[in-house]
Amino acid sequence: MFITFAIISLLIKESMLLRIVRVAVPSYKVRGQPAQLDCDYELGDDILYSVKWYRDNEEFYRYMPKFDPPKHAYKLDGIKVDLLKSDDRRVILHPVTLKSTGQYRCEVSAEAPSFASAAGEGRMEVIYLPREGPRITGNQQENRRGDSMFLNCTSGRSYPAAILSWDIDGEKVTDPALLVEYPPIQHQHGLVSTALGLRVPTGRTMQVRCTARVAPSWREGSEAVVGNSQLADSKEAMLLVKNSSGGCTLNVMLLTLSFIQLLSSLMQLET
Amino acid sequence: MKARKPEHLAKSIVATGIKIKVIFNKGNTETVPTSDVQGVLGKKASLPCDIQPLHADDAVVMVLWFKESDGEPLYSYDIRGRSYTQPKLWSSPTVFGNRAFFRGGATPAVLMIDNVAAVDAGVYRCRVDFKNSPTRNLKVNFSVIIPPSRPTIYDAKRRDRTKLVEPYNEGSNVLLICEVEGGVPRPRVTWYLENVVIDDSYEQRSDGITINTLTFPNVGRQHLNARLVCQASNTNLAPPETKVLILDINLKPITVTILTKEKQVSADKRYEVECKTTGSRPEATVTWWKNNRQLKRMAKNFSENNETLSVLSLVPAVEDDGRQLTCRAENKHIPDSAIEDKWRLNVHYVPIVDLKMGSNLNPNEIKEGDDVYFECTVKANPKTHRLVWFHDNSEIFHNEALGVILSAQSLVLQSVTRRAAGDYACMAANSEGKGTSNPVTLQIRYAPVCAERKDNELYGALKHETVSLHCAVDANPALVSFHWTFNNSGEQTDLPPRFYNSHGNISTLNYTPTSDMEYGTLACYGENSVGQQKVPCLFQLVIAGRPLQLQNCSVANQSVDALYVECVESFDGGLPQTFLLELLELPSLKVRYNVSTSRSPPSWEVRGLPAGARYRLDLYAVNAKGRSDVTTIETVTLRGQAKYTGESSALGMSPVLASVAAMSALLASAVCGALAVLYRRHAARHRHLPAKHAPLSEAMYGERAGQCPTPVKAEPALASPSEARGPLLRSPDSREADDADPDIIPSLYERRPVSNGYMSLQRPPTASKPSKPGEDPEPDAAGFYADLRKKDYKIPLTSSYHSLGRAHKGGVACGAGAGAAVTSSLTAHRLRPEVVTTSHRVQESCI
Repeated sequence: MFITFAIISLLIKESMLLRIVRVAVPSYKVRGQPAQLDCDYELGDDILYSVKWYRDNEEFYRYMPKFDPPKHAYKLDGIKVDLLKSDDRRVILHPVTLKSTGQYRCEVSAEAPSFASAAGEGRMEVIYLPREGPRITGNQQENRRGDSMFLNCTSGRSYPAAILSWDIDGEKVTDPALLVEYPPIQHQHGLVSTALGLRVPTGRTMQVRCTARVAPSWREGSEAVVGNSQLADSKEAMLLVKNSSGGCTLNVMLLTLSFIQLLSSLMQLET
Repeated sequence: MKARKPEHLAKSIVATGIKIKVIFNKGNTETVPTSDVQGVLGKKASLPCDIQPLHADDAVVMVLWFKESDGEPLYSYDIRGRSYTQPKLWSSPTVFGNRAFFRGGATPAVLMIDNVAAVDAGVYRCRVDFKNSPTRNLKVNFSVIIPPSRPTIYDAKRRDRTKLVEPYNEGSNVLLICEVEGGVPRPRVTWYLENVVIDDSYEQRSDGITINTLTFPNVGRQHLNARLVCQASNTNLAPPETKVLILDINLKPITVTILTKEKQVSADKRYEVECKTTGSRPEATVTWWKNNRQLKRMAKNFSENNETLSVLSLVPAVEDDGRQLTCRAENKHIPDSAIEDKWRLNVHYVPIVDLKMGSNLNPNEIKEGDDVYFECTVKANPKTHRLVWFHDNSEIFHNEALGVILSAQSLVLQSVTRRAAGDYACMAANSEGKGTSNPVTLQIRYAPVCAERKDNELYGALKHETVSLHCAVDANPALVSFHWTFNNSGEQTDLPPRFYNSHGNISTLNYTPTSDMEYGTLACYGENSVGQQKVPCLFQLVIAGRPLQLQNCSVANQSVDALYVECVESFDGGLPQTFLLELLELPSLKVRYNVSTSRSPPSWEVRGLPAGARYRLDLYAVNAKGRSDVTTIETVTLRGQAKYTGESSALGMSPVLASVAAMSALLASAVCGALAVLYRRHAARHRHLPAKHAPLSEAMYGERAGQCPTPVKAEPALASPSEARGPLLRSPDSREADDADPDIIPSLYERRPVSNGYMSLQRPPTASKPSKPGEDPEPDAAGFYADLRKKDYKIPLTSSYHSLGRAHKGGVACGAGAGAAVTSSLTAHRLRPEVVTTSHRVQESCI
């Protein structure tokens, strides 16, 4: 699956003038991969003065023909420009890190006298998928009467944060009275883990499952995109709860019933 | 639009107008540092852009200015291959054109924009390309401020107050509306009093007008010329728009003072009274009031600064005493602004004196014996220190014995007599002067009384001679009716009214005695509304006869060869008389000189006498009936000797001798006198028969006189009546000469004997010895004569001598006469008997 990036073109009144044809910035990149940023423009009658790349308004690469050398990269945290592969219309970042996330803008300026300028931009997110599944932990002390018990589910470290959900016997728990939310836990390198608590009514034997999902869902319409891509990841932990009649002892068996890892493939669409 | 400000001011304004607001929106595209800059319409603005490289070895190569998202820069600053001082500049003609200029050398570097227009507002971006460093992008949010219009100040009637010349009144409330039109952003409209904000509440109306309504209560003196400023401001980049209203305030006067409050003023003098008032604006109106009546056109006003001086020309009148003089100052523009100062006038004046007769007295009904009082009312300031009373301009003194009582303000006259009648006045004095009252006339009514010195007169008349007797009486009222009576020998008869006519207080009786019986006392009675005259006016009508002896003769002056002799004449016997002096040489007793005079009183001067001669002087009165008894001055020696008088010779005697001598002398003189009378009458009869105006023969007189053999030197004062008679009548000559029968004398020329009336002159008529009608008058006459002489020195005479038109002119020497004269120095000059004769009968006795 390829994520189609918005093409920003500045239509200038006359074709004779400088205009940006396309600025292509990949929306998501998994950490460690290279990323190519494209800036396609038409100079018209103008002579090129400069091509400048900014991440969040900080210049990290420029191409100025009159300068020697014309290519110049500036040090920015999370930016590592492959100068050899970069030129006046593209920039190669290799590899991307979590700190590479940001708004990338290409600004092209013509030479004197007009110094007509045009710019285009796009946002790139760098994600980190969890290496381990969620873990379910219980606390038998929770309810002495034995009519309920309390479980916690904690996800593995990821970026962005995993989204946890509980289902009992295949049915998703939505009752907020049964769910207990916790603030996310920050880890090194910007990684985040999350936790979700569940009150489990007792008295019968049941199958309890916790699902941790990581997807760049913070962009509109990303859910669908994520489902088809290598950028999504879903892992589960399952627990069988047995009820011994009359007894208040609780046998908790922690079982990892299945471990499913979905690796989304990164689609790069080059239109 | 404002005039362009000086450039340096604009720069500073621009510098202060920058507010850098750096917003870092992580995860957002807008992380460009942004500064807010304001510019004022029409003025300069500067958009900052920091082009300083981060490293010293770096350098700016290019600065580009963009507006909003425009691709084309509006300004470029290119120093590639150039020096800093010579950049390649370019300004887009469609944006700023030549209004923009980039000052790369400034810190921070700025894009200067001239004459800012409203469309210049927006977000600008400056891109700075460095030689080495990363490009710098900076944003400037530029807003354009449109100043408001100049404020307009209206009052409540929506009149432009700054163009109105209408002061506020002190204490009034000032309502001012400040209106400001337009302004982006909408201005703050603030009221200042001088430099202090007094009202910063304003209202923004939807029509673009911003209003601040100022209510400024109770403006006072301290606000005069205060500056009320309405200020409209929507930026501190440009001076605020202001409108100033200078408060003009009508002020009330604060003080008013009469400067010259003298303790007292004098009536009718001119004073300049000054009154000063301060504090009024415009100048106070000063008015003067006297007891709530305004004094107009009597003051002059002078104004200077905030002071007004009013000078009143005041002539205090008496009635102003105690009145309030008020100086009132007010500002005519401010109701109830008048203030006053008062001065109670203390007017000093000459006492005003009013005299009234006692209120319960009827001035027309005051009779003698009544009590009268006057009340003097004095109005004076200061108090009088003296009150004086006058009666006919003579001061009156307190005298209880006379019934004159002066008390505080009144005069009491007890039991008034008619002499109290007249004009009365009182006079009071104080420090201002003397004031005299109106005169009040006191009229006293009384029954008629004889006019003073007019009663009891002796008249001699010949038979058939008509005498006019004037009976004048004093009376009040003067309307008097008269009646006359004739009294002879105790019988009183009323005279018929046809004999007399009366006019006012005078009645004139024309009386013609035809017989002896018709000589006697004529009495005149007046009567007015008060009553009848109690004591009548008496006229003694006697038959004309010899004159009476001269009295009081003396040598008044004496020199070596001259003598001057004076006498006092007596009754002329009813006929004209002359006076005779005879000088008899001693011791021969020969008549040496004979001097006559008709001068009255008689006096003689004899000159050319031999020195050392000694004389006796015989003195006589002579009329047609004969010569009077002699009066002798013994032994006058010339050559400067002291004069001799009878009295002085008598003084040499011892008292015993003197009395004996006097007794004998009186006896002798009485006898001599009687004889002399007889003689004279006899002589007169013969001599006066021929003619009515027969002149008296001097020679005859001389002979007769010389025949008196027994001159007597006597002291008549000591003589008794009987003794006195003797010597006078002793002279045989006089006895012979005496012709007692009046009938012998023609009726034309009556001899007038001294009647009994002459006696009664000296005593009440009832006491007098009446001469009986038909009786031989001779003894009567002699007796009367003697009586007269006796009375002369015993009774102070109240009667006066009247000579009715008879002339006594010149002394005529009638020849030397030898006769002893009785010197009667005791008889005072005033004691002359009163003798009246009708003038038309006898003019000259001795011609």
